[in-house]
Amino acid sequence: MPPLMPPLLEIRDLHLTMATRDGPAQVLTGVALRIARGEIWGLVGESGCGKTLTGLSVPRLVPCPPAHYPAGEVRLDGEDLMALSERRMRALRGRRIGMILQDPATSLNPTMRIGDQLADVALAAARHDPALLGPGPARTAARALAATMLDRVGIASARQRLSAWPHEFSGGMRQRVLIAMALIGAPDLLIADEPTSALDVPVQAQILALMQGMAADRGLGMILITHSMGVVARACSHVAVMYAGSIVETGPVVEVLDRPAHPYTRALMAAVPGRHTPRGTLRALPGTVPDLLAAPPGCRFAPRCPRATPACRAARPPLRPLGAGHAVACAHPDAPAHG
Amino acid sequence: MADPPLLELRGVSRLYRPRRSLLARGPEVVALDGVSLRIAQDESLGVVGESGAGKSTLTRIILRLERPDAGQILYRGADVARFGPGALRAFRARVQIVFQDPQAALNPRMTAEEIVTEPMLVHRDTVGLDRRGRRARVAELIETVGLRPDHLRRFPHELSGGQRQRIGIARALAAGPELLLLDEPTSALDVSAQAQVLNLLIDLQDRLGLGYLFISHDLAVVRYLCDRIALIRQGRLVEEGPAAQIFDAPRTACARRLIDAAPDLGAPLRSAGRTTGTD
Repeated sequence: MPPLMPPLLEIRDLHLTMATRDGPAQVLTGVALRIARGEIWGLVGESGCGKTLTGLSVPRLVPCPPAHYPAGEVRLDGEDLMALSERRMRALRGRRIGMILQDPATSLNPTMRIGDQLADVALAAARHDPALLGPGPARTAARALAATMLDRVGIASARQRLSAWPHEFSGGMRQRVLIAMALIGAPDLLIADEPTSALDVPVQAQILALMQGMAADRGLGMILITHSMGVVARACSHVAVMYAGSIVETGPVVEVLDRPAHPYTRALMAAVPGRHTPRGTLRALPGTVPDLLAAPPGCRFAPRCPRATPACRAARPPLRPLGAGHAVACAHPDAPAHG
Repeated sequence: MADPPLLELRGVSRLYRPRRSLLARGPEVVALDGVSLRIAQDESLGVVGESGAGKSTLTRIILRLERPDAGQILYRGADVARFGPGALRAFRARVQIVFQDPQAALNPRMTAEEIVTEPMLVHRDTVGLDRRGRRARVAELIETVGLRPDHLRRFPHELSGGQRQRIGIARALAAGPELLLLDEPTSALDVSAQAQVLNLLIDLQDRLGLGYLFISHDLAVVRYLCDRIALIRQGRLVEEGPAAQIFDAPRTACARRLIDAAPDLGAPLRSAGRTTGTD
């Protein structure tokens, strides 16, 4: 018997290699995350840092080949997802693990009405969890639930809109349909890849509030992939900062954003204009994420880091705890004052 | 009287009658309703609004890709609607656009060099450069937007998102514009690429004295870049004024709602509603 309840999601030392025309690229190099129920984790970093591939690895949506996992574990409530049959895995997707993909344009079926697409997901989820729809005729209940979810993501006159086609909806509305679809099966874990970046600011705030409500009331655990530190500050309880395939800083949002220890986290925060950033004073992070086919040895951030020393280029610093759940992988972190 | 502004919109309206079915047309939709705006040389005006507010219609009308149903567009005091073919071509060289998604806006089969050269061919009579002159200008432009000469040989897919948008900006500069319409130019970019492109736009404006019409739904970005802000809602101009005034003392509920809803790193951790977290 394990002494502790396993967390909702545990990713341990996940490595992912991608076969490319020019050789294998080490895309993920030892990603580790522990997510409890009710926690919303922001996964941040520049494009090409492995955020999306980390998210897709949980429901096993990365095609293998070209991908290959040389090491690592992904456990949902202690169950090893990497070892499940494809059939068992399929039963988890959409029901226990909800997923919002990045591209709303291609994620809806253009030949099915919005309400039918939502109701189908609810019916499929209800096969595993009959309580979802309650007693009575299932299809009627599924449509009612579909209308409720559309309403909750802020689609006006939701009931009438059930018979609309995807092409009748704007991009922002389609994105909201996908959010409703990911939530309609009442998943335990939601992985949302840039779910709100295409939305208007007020709608974005409404969706984030909805997700926070589901985390607080129903214990939904969530990975929110974003490059917006503002979204992290507003919506997340925890944050993991990714750089070039691994997590370089992690912890509760209040700790990490108030006392960022990794130079990369600091640079990301400094690159976001605030309400009072004077014109021309934004500090852009120079350079780009390294080519993962020829990643530098040692700390992968060293080539862009103002503090890098020869030691940084020699060995990769491990993630070290700083207290209060805050950890950083840096040889020369800013020492945050705790206590 | 002072010089006329670079661009002026006077009471511009635009209606659409969407098709309801193959034959019947639905009720009219008002995309723009009596919008008046001015942009001076060297000035940046931020246009902020929710989706469907009419921001894209505004750019299409300014570029004369669509005609307004009412109102006038004046360029340096001259009515754009009365431009003949020659004046219209010259106008289009002077007013260029940078699109939201550089991936979609750049031809995937053209190299960066071909992409940046194309406007000089289209606007040959305005730009007036021979082949050698165009090559020199492309080399200059690529440096202006902070890329290296070897980037010119690359295709869009061989560039990062930020680099692609720099090519989009170089293309917009190629015909020698006075006014750039920037349609959410950084919303498809990650934060570091966004910061680089924003700083590039500021630098270009300072060096070239361009006028900007900057469309965005990211208020912090608009605040960072723009001198004045115009808020539009359902096709109507709701509020317009200096950026600082709109932010610090919004007069309308619409402005306040947009400002309050915007995530701000400056004051995040005191906000309530966090699900878990430690103190």
